[in-house]
Amino acid sequence: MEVLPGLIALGVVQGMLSALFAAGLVLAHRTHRFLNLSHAGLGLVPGALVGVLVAQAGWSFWGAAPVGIALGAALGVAAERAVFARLANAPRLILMVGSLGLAQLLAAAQTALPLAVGGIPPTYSVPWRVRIDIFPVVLTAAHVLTLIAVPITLVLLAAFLRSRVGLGAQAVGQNSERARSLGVSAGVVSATAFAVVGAAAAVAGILAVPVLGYSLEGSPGVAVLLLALAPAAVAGFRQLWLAAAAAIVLGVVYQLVLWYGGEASNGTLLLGAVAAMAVALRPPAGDRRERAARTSSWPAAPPIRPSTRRRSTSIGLAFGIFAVSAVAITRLGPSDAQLVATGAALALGALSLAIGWCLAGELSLITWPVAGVAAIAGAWSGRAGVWLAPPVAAATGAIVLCALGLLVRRRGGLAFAVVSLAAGAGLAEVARRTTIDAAGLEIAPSIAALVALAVAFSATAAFSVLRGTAAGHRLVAARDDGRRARALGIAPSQARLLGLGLSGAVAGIAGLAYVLAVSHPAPGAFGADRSLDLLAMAVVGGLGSFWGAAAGTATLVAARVLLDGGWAVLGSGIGMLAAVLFFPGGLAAAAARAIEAARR
Amino acid sequence: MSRETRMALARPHVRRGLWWSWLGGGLVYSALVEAPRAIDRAVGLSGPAVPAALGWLALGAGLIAYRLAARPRAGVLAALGPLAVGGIAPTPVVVATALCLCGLAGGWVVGAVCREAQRPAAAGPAGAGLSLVAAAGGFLLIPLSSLWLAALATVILSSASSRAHTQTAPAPAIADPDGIGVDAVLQGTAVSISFAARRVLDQISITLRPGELVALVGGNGSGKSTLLRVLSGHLLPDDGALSLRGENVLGSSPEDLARLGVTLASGARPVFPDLTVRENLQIATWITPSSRRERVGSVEAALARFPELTSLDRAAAGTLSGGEQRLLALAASLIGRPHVLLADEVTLGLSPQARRRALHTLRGVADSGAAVLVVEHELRDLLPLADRALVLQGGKLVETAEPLPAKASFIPEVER
Repeated sequence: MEVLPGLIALGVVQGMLSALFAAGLVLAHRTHRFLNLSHAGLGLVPGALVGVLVAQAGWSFWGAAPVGIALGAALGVAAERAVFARLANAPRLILMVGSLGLAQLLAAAQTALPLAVGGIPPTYSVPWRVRIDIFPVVLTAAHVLTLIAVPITLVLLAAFLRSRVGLGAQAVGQNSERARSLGVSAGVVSATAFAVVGAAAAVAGILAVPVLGYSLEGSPGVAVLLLALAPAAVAGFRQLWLAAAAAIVLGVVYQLVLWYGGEASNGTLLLGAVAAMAVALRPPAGDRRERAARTSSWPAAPPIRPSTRRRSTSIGLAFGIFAVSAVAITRLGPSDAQLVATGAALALGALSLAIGWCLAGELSLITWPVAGVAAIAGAWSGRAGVWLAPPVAAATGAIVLCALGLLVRRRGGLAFAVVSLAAGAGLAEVARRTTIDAAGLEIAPSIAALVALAVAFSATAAFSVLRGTAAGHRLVAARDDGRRARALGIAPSQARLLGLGLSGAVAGIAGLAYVLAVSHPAPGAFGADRSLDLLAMAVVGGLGSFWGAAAGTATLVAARVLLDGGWAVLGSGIGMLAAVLFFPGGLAAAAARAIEAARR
Repeated sequence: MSRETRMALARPHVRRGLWWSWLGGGLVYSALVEAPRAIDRAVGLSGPAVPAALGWLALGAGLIAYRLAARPRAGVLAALGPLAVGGIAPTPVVVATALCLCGLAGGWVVGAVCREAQRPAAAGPAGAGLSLVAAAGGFLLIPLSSLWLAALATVILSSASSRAHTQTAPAPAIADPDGIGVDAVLQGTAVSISFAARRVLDQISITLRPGELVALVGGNGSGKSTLLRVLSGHLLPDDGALSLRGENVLGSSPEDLARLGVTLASGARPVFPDLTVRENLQIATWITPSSRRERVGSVEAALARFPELTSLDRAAAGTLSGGEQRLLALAASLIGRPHVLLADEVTLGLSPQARRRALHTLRGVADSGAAVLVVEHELRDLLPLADRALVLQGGKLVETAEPLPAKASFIPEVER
């Protein structure tokens, strides 16, 4: 196989764009210690604005680009002040969830901006007479500008990190109280850091439009995310230049895979594998370093709702609701019954996320692809006997999540979230390429709805009970403080794996319930992006509550029915942001507060 | 701006209430004027039902958030807003009514907070006026078509409201029967703070004078660290006054107090773990108005003062032992030459020699003219160096004896 030099050149250009996104992830992690999933959005909205100014308002690219960079900086400041600064006392994982909500808002803005002002696609080229032929590609002015602008931006980013304000921002991220005691203006340095992050993202976003083309889809897609995430993971979210170098190498490899490997998804699989391996193969830090890595101005342990002694009341109430729902289902038409069954399957998926959070302290961004793989296994075993399908699906889900848990054993922090995001792309691809044979599992929609609803209610009730038992307390103890739990004779690693296994088992059942609901899932039905929907449902309902997952699912499914595509994304983003900013405990906590107030 | 207004603005709940009042005003505008127009343009749907429904939805959402962010009971009153708007056409009377409701609700919040904190009743009307102005501002500035302007105004408004309370003003007259505070550099009077139902500090009055080292002792949970966090601006007390050289600094942020010379060195989470020792010290030069060369000189001087740190200057601070981290925190706190140093268990985990040297360093800081307040559990080395010792028990300052609290029952015999 001959490696064509033009492909390498194109790979370097695309790798450089990814390098800027990866550097932004590293910078945000060093100053705020979380994975900023809204980073690409901070760049793509300015890209769309420059397109609108050039294509519709007739501006020169050289005049519009600074405006776009300024918008990126302003968006960064607005995001920091309006979202991240308000989450000063929240766990870092909640910050990541907040950034996900923000990413959805930015995606909606990127789509809406060109439509709102004329509907002309905001594409543009760089007005500079440059053309370099390197077989089989032609490098244009945009490519050359990328080769010049990206290294300059990277040097500026590195200089910022070493500057007084950059050091101050890192100090605030690591220990806000101490930094403020020494006179560092926390708000100013954090906002400045995010202005720099936003400006760097804007440079990448503005250059990406003429190099990669403009997408009206809004969200940047898994491949774009992984192109930045994988190198940032290779650099441990710490070393800016290593992240940039890794991004360029991966850009070239990705380009070669695209050219010689046939499907684009092969490149995505490769990037996912690199990101997962980068986290998994990084040697576990020593005790002090591990503690240092976990230390930040934001607590690492996510909150969960305390178990109450009134379980019987709530379970009785839940089964009352189920009984009423069951009666209602018998009166529904087939399509509505299918909607209920699908909703119940999604509720199980959200429950799986809540279990991972509550019992293992990990945020899984892979729930739906795991459900897909488990559904494949379940459906396959169902041919031998229907009764075999649920245990096989549950076991498959449990094995996959436990295997991922083992990969990042003793790494803590955001390692599991990063690995699950990366592995999710691969599993989703496996699910997409496999046809699910549900011949033995076909039942009437109303029966499927009843079964799925019954399973969802039973599983939620069972885990609520488990949470209050001695076994549940041990899991929560290991999740909250592994060192102290170990001193009390609890093995934290095993407890965490058990929590992940339970989460995976429920995800497997969710996948099977989904197959029951829709009979023949379309290719891509178990895509990685669905996991983000499930996350939104769990967050809106209240991540720390099992019943909250069901409530959140019901709310967002209803919103999806009432709103159409673009509005649904916007609603989901607003819902997630509103939940983390104003209702940190979600619907579950709001309901608990209302009940408490009523009792008083 | 009157003192009552400043005191009201110093409360985070009040600032949030104002913000929501402003947003509520904007939502009224959006609900009544812009949104119906936009819907009419988009789908051709118009009529009295649209503003009514949107009025309910928008104001309801805004005020539910208001309720959660501010004070629970305020939501009940604020919820009357949608009642006034729903089903009625957007006339000036309806708009004015809704705005007044926003203002009244904000004022009610301010009044409730002031009552709880036993502030003068005048703060209530002041807050109501502020809230009304905020709501009107929101009404004028947040039209749906200019959300960017709304975002800008939000940033300006929130930063202005958070800055307003940091402005210093002449301190109120403080009772000082002992005459101890005449030359005070930092003075807290009748400071009280509660967490949930627990009163952690109860009417504490404390005075620090230049050139003295004061030992603050007390059992676990007596409120020592909380008092230091109040004095350094990290916690806003429920009640009381705080003055620095006669200026009222109640409600000032920790960074503002640090710039005025008040530094807290805490033994708990004392460093920035991912930065090197040298970078930790560089951060401490943040408030020194000097050239780059002078700042580097300050870092070198700090390293020379604590030779244990010299060989570790390139190591990540998180990899140091607990004792080394506290030494680093102490070294960093001294770089800014504070006028008031609040040291919270900075010698925990140090070897006996290092502890004695650290305490003598603190004594030296006091001798150079600063006021030093030290919280320690190991009293044997501290008390001989202290000018005074204060004893906290159950959130109350039970002794202010000079120099040794011999009657403090919780101090072991061997420590006295």
